[in-house]
Amino acid sequence: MTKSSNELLSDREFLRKIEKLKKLYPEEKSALLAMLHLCQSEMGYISLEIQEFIAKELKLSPAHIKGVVTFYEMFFDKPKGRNLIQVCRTLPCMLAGGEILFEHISTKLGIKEGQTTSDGKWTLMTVECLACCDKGPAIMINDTLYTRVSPREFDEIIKDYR
Amino acid sequence: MADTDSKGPNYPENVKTTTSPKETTEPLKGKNPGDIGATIRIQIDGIDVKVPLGTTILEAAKSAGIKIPVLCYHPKLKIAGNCRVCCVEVQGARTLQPACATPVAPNMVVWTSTPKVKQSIKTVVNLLLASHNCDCLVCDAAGACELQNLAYELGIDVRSRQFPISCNTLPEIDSSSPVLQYDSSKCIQCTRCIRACSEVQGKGIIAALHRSKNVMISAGIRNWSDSRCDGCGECVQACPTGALSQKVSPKVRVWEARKVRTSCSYCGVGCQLDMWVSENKLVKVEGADIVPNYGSTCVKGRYGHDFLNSSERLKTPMIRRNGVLQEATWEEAISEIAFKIKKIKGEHGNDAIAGLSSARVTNEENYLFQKTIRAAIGTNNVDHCARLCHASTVAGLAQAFGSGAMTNSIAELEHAKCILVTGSNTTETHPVIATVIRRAVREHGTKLIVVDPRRIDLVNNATLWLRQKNGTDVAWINGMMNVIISENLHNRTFIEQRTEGFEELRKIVEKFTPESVEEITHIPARDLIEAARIYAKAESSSIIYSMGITQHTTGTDNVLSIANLAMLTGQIGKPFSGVNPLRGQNNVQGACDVGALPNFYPGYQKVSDTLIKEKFEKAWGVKLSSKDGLTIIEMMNAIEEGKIKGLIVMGENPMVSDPNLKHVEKALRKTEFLVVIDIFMSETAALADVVLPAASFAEKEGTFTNTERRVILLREVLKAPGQAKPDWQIICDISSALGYEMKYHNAAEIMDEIASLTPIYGGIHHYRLQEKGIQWPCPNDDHPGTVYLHKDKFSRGLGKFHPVDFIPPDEIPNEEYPFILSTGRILFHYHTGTMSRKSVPLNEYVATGYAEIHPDDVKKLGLEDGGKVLISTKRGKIETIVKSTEKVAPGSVFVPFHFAEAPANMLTNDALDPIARIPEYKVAACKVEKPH
Ligand code: SF4
Ligand code: SF4
Ligand code: SF4
Ligand code: FES
Ligand code: FES
Repeated sequence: MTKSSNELLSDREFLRKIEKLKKLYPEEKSALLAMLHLCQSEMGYISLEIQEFIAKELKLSPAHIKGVVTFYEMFFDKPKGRNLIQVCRTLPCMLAGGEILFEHISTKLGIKEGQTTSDGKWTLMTVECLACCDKGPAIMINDTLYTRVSPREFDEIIKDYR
Repeated sequence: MADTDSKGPNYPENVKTTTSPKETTEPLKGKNPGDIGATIRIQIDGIDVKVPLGTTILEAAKSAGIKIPVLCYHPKLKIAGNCRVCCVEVQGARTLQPACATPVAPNMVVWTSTPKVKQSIKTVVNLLLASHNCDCLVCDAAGACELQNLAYELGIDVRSRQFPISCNTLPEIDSSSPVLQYDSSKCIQCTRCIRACSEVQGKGIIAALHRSKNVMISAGIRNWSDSRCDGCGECVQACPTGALSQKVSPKVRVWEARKVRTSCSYCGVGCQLDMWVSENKLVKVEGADIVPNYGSTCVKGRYGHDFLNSSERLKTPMIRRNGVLQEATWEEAISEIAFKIKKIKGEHGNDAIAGLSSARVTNEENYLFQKTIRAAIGTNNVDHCARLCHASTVAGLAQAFGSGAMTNSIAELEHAKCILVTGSNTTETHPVIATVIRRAVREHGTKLIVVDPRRIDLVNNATLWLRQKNGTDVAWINGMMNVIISENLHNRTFIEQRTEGFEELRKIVEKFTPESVEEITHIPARDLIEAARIYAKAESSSIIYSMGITQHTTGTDNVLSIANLAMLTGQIGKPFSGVNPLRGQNNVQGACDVGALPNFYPGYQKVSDTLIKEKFEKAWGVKLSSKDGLTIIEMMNAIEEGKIKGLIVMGENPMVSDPNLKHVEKALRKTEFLVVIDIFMSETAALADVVLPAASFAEKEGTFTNTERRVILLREVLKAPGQAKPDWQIICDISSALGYEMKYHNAAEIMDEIASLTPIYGGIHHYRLQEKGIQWPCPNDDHPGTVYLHKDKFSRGLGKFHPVDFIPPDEIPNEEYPFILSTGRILFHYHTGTMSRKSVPLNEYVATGYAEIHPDDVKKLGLEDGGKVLISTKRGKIETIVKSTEKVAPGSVFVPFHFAEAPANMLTNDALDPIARIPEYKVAACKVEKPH
């Protein structure tokens, strides 16, 4: 999950996968999103070095790669904590107390949106609708969804994470 | 159409229109190419307008004189339709339509300034201003900013913020590029810069990062300088606001400066530039939106002219007294020259004097220079550095076609179906032509074949790259012809009707089978065959070449082979097809045209032809010499042998540009009397007995002839510093002092004289050149000029095939000197660097010389990227810096020649092509080692 750029770039298995993705589409550059997903799953984020590597592979401007990485919220260009908390910021959740929940989380962990705790345990983000609008406020920790989360429940939930 | 609602402007909901909604919405789906051309009628603001189908509402309105505001639209770029300030009402359409992106439809009714439209524009602009850093008070763009102008026209009050301020929260100013600066707080996300870099420049470097209010653009992923941006400034010119701005400048705003159009002084593309001047200082340069560059320039043209403001410019004449150059008056300097030249003439005869004219100064000045040498001094010893670049083109193409210049125009390249580039690193030497080539490939599907030993930038856009061994050009070209003939792809009709000598050609190329060619050139037979097929079969094929073809002992042979290839396939004498040697310096074409050559009078009229001589004797009123003069290298030899005693050099720097420099220096030191006319104290001027300060190209009037034979105007942008004078006035003074009276009121008068004596320039006069210049041949005052050459008939009548066999280069690698050395130019510098190395931004890009060496060799030799390296040949050695790159093949080294402190020409071979007398700059055997 957390290889360094250099480790990744000398990983034969990874390079083989990249080659395969390149050939998967009629036009090489269509493989961009798939490659970004692959890299993020290997490294946990997509470093600038990796963005440059992909640019070279697909003969695109590195800025173009960065543009795509920074456009999609599920791509990260900086290392994130071991666990990622995503708090829904769309209207129904906000009406159901999402704002208070977010403030609580932020104070509790001592980080603002987009930041990571100094022990590297938590990264806090907001996202648009998690598709649980009837059960707000909703949050997601890594791949697990939690609904109708109250501040107190949140404190309980995070005890299970290390 | 007359029954528009009497209430005035129509609102879609309350009118029955004459056009059904179906008709008006249909064209929104996009243009139907088949329909373009048919003229239709539409109505805009009550005015009937007739336009071809496929026109947008915006263009239609413009043709009717109706102004619609725009921001993201730019006439050179594809439509983005993202800013919405151009929205108009289209009768029957549900919503407002963007005029820039909506094609017209029959009977469309459009209103451009209804209250609804006005309200919409105001809202859009207010929204833009809400996220805009409105510091117009201190912004460089004020007065030229399209957003500011629009806000002004709409009377927007920024204080009554209609929307809450929502500025970009990301870091604001990126000033990492040597030439430009990006301020995201002034960016309106119109994407004009992105499209300019991608569509016009064909580079596609810039992209938009982040999202919503944080959207910003960037070229690199860390900052601007981290990218492949080469500073051409196309994006800066395209930006409507102050977001992208030029970095280097004294701070000046448009209303404080005045704009003068002139021609670029750097390369042979001849870009038209708009130079902004304030208080006799150059403050800004923009590409003029006219042929040949249509607004584009390269980094040198736009940001490299700051040398004009340099304090090192020569300002007074100087005479060497007691071994040192000392300031003198013009009278003293001119009479010193007259005295010494007369003395040498008297003691050793006319041929003891020689002149080096210049590809950097105007046609008029070159004409007067050769006239002075021929008429006032009485010798044909006049040459200039074209000898060192395209003498073989002039010789070869004259033999094959009858005239040696680009057969086609630059603009035609964009529509050629196949372009073969060989021996030209176009991206670096003719940057704006490279953008045309890239556009051809990216936008029009042109097939690009690159044949070059180096992995030049254009290889990235090429369909096919053939990497030949240095100096084997005749072999691969013969090989291509072998394939073409054996596959029956040659153009029989063309060969029969337009050429002679085909049988001899057929015989010689027979033995150049792809397999045997592979052995000589190392080009895989398969690739050669494919290249031959693409080139021969394409509807139109254009060959572009440059010094990689000409600077060889077999330079003329190489050129002849290229001519053979074009004639064999009939790819010449028609639009988009031909043979196109790219001329290097700004006026190298013109200097040749007007006779700065030892064997030709102006217009390639032979010195040895008695009738011609008589014509010039009559016009100039003196007896002339019928003996061909000496070429540059021969002059140097003659000086060493003591045959030439006096040398006049105008705007050239042989101390850096000529091959085998040790020899050149020895010769120059040996001259009895050396005069140098220049704008800076060049390496050559430092050796002179008299130095005369010249006005630069921006400080005088005259003409250059660019590489596509276009005679273009120079205008006086600045006043010359100190006592510096235009070269033509200096030459007049010298000539008159020598007893041959020479007097002209202006450059236009000189051009009239050229026209009267030079058939190809017969109709060329300054008053005709104001807008776009004229491409020669232009025989008379009514002739519009010639876009492409050899239509229906070659200049010499029939085109002539010259069978040429392969001869290996003069020097081949051996045990002692195992590497192949080639030399050449780079984007950021120009010729011997007298101008470009005084430019601050150009030096920020590249400040020192270097040697490109393949990473494998770097490793093998124990060198280090960025470390020192010693390169030596039989003739000399230089120490320079290693640049490890796969651009060069293993076993090869490339050294740019602009740098006097590590002069590549210490190393180069002055072995000459037997016909054109051009030296072999492109192949020498060298040794590469770590300095001890
Ligand atoms: S200066 Fe030229 S190369 Fe650089 S980003 Fe702008 S358009 Fe592209
Ligand atoms: S930098 Fe200029 S051209 Fe580029 S998007 Fe911003 S405002 Fe438009
Ligand atoms: S150097 Fe050449 S390409 Fe660059 S601006 Fe001048 S004429 Fe144009
Ligand atoms: S609004 Fe929060 S899950 Fe949909
Ligand atoms: S100018 Fe038409 S949408 Fe921007």
